[in-house]
Amino acid sequence: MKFDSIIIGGGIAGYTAGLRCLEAGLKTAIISNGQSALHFSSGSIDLLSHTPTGKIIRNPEAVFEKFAREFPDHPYSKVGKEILFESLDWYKKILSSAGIPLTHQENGDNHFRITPLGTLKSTWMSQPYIYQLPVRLEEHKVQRIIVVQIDNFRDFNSKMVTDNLNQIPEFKDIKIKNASVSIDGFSGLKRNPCELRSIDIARILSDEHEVRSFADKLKKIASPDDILILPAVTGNGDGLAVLNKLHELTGLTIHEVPTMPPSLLGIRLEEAMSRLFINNGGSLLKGDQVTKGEMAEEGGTLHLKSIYTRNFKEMPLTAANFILASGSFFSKGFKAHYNQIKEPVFDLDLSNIEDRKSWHQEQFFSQKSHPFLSIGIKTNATFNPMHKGVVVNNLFCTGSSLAGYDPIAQGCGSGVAISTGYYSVNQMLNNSGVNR
Amino acid sequence: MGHISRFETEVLIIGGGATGTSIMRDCALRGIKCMLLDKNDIASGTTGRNHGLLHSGARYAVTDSESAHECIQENKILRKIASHCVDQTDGLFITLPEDDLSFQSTFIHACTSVGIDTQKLTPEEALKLEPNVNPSLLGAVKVPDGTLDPFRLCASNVLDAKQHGAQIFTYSIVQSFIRVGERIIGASCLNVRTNEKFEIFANEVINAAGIWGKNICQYAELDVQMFPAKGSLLVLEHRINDLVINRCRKPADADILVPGDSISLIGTTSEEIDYCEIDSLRVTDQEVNILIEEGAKLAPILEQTRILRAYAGVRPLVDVSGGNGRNISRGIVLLDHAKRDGLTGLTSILGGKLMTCRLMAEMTTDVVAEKLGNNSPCTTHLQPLPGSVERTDKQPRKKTALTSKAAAYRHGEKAVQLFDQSAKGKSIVCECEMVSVGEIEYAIKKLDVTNLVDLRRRTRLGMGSCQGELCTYRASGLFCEYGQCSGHDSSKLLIHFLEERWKGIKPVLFDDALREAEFTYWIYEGLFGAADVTLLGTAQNDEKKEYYEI
Repeated sequence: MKFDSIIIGGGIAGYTAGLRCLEAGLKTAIISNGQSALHFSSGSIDLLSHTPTGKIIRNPEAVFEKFAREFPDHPYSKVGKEILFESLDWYKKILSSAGIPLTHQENGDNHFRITPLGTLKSTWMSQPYIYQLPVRLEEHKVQRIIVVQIDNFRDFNSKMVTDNLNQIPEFKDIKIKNASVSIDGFSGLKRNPCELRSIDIARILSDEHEVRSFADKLKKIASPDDILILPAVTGNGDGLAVLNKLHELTGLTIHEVPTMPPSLLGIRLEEAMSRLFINNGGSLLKGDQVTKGEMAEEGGTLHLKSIYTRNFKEMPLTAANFILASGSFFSKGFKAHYNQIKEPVFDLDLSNIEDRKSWHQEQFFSQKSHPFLSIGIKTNATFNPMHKGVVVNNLFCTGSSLAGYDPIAQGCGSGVAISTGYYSVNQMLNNSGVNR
Repeated sequence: MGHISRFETEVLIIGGGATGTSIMRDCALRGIKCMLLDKNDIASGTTGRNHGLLHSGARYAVTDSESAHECIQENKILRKIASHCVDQTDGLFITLPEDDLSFQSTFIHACTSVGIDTQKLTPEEALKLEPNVNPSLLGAVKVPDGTLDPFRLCASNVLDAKQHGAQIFTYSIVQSFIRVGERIIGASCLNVRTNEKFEIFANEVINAAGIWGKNICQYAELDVQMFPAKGSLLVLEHRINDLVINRCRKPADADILVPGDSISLIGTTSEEIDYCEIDSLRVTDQEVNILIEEGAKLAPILEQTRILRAYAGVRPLVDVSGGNGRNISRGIVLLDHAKRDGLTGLTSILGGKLMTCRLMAEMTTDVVAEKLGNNSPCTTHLQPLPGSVERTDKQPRKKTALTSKAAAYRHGEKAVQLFDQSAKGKSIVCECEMVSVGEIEYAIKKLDVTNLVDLRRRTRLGMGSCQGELCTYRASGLFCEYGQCSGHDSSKLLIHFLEERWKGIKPVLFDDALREAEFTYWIYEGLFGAADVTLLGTAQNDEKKEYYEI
């Protein structure tokens, strides 16, 4: 099978690259091996919350130049400010066209989202039912917070949220309380209603009658001036439709928090991108896995000719350009062996961390980030990787397969995924090696 | 500090391991009033950090016939009184090409002479019984080994003792002994969770603190030499063997593979360590290596099996030479300090094995009961523990059963009847180990559970292949409901559990353990922002803030 471009990996980086390729009129395939990290993500777009040295960033745009100077190995420093913000604007536009409007603070500040534990996480761009708290928290305008406990739902605990929120000094003068709400559809189920997951509840709430009844109950416990914290239990296949309906029926300010996986906030993004990719003519090879690649030498560099997958067995998939968006360990983009870490498909050169003892910190929740989270593929300025020191000229690395950043500690996972996916396609199009 | 609570009892037991809890039960059944103190949770020391092997005694038959004899006696008793803690798997002693096959007859002879049944098997017969055993084996001997769940055993001891009037104080340390001349009359104690001080006055104090017993003796200004030996083990993701597999040779490193509920364990290494290291055990990379390499010789599949975590315990070896040179005993050491040191009111029970805990308790309680003038005979070898019922089938239990079946195995059928039977009570919290809300409620209310690590010891929650990925969050919320915990405190319990688990994962942080760790970190830090919970409301939170500006 022959394509103009093949993308390995169906997470946020892979879809960004795939959608950009389609926009450029390329015949494009995405090979996706099951669930991406989006299934346990917040569904917000983190841009940059902390420097690698742990300092807090309030406005990523304002400090960008300084950041790029001081941390030249960070992927953002290679992408550059202009492309970074261009890619985010583009992402905002396409997600909006797919029914998921994303917004950020007008002045470009980060904002806080309330987490399922009642702590605050800094992010940059969020879905409509994420309440954006100001990064200068003392300026918040919250009057009262109501945290909804859905009766018998195991994967969200409202008491943890309220009690932790109450510990935040800036919230000491506001009322924060729990309220229990039942879902009618829980009774009369064949299975034990106490064992439902977020995705099962989403199925129940896709019924119009259920939504109305749920809305009536919510109206009784909150007023429009409150922030109503609701576990993310809607939008499996129907995006924001149910939440829009709830909002319309109640007029309440809803703040969604992700639950224990699956996280519907993340799934919503994946579904929107996946639908768009297919509608725009992309080939989505789901549940397949790349097993190996064939490279040829070409004037001092390597050229990836074709790849093979588990499903297509001996039939090669060829393309002019390839994008690696296969994620890190969880998505099997990397494999850790006893004393070394490898990129399993092409055996690409990785950033060096030699001793297994140095892959992690002593404490799990450490002030310093775990080195294994920053391990990744070494690349040149255009994100081309190397195999035994030789550049692969038509393969581009994106997202968490890249070295040099910690997506969690620096709060930049989705921003890096989007910007490097976007940037790589630009490089690909500029690449003299493109033969369409 | 204001008021200090005072308690009076006949016997104060220090140490809530297998020995201490067995003594607690023995005393209670003889009508002796007793209280037990542990600096941590029950079974949190050496007791919960070994193989959980129900020795037949075969392992010691050739080298130490006294231990072998004790083991087979206790083996038979525990099968009767603690059937819910025992899995009667049987064990194989295999001879590999690199071993001396002639050792087999020495071994069989030694077993027979102490009363251990043996059955010689051909390689084919052994493979039929245990398909994962190394197929290159030259021969095998089947013996009545099994598995013994130390957590369950201790919890049942405590439950029975409490039903007979005994009292327990976990997370409480001895700060000093209360003395009158050459007599110890009690101890000043501190609850390390609440920082409350209290005093326990007792006619007799029993030091059953295992390796920490040396410290306890020091409080009484007595000198006991102990030599801690670290033993490390690995937990494998699933149960790769149904029979215990040993090597038919003199005991060595990493030559026992034990099935335990849904997992298997490979162990152990042996390394003498400094006494000051006993509270900060680390499994080294080299030990992990040896365990995998040697373990794969018992069952080659081990090399392809995911490792869940590593842990280490300390063998409490005692020097019985009395100060001249070294004469280290692996056996039971009972020290009547009145006779040995002229200090009345204190008895130490040291050394020994998990297998001999009941016997050690009987020996100790005999000595102490005599001092108290109590003539009631020991009955712990006759009376089944709560939850233990005679099992008719000799088959090993199925690995995954319905929650009530799993819980009955853990707590006995009587206890399960007490669980909340509503839809909520029956709903599953931990899918790997089939732990229900009702079981957790029972554990929090009845089994002295104060945190998620205690809960894991009682219920196996979070011990299965997912290592508590989802269930710890669910379970921590239940502490709000049943444990009078605030939501803030229960979030801290969650973090405490994940930090504890991290200790065991670090030594094996590669392959799937690393994948899983990344996943856990993404959820609990990336999605949930858990790291901030411990900083909330503290000054540290503000000091930490440093902004990056142009």
